[in-house]
Amino acid sequence: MSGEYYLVVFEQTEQAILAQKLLADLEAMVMPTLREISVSCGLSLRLKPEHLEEARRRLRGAALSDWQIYHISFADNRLRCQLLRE
Amino acid sequence: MLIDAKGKACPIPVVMAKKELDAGCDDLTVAVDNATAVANLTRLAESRGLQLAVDEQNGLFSVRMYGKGEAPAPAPAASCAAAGDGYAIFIGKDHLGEGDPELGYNLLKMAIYTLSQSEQPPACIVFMNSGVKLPAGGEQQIIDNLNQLIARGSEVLVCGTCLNFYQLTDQLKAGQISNMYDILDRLRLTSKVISL
Repeated sequence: MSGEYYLVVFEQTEQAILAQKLLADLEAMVMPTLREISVSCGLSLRLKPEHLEEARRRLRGAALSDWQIYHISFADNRLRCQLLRE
Repeated sequence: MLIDAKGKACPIPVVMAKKELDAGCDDLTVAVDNATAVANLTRLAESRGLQLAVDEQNGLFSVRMYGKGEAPAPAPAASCAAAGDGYAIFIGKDHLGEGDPELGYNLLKMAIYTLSQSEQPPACIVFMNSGVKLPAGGEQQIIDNLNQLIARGSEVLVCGTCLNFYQLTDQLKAGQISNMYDILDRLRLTSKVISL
């Protein structure tokens, strides 16, 4: 479970649930939004790097609102969360 | 001694066997007709340190337990203490909290993910009633997360009666079929039970 991955975070939980169905066949994994990104209890989708582009394409196509993607990695025993530019 | 427990639903075969063992029987054969009963009887024999021999013919099982045995339940205590700090998670339904069922299901899925990532995984996770739909369902994330927990030392116990009720016995993908005796023993042996 370690190693780099991408995390899609949402402003609204309902949007996250919709997106989960949209990305189900891409092995998108439901997980809590990392505390480093938001202190609120959010529902995020974890993506493998190889599914990033397809996921992004679908999210744009579905016109889901208020989502962002972070690149999550570990370096020097620290978690790094980098917001991707859309 | 021979007990005919064919046609008896979980946990009756274990109840019958336990009664004879408690009465001092040291060579007991139980005839049953389902795999859940075999799994439960196996666990009963293991928890008492008895020798075990299972024979199957045409879907009928003969489970023989024999030997002097040891004091019951040291193994569960040790295995619970070995994983994490000895807390148990009890999941008695297929959603977390009350409200929208889809949100509740996703919250529970997220909770299992978070447990699988925890530095201190639970000693055991118990699934009962509609909670058994998670380890016996088609959600790959949940199965993967449960198997990660098992690999890290957590015991995943799934109520056999409940699997049978929901007709999911042959769908179980993570954890082991268990019974009320073992489940309550595990909960008793942990220092804290968190009910989700």
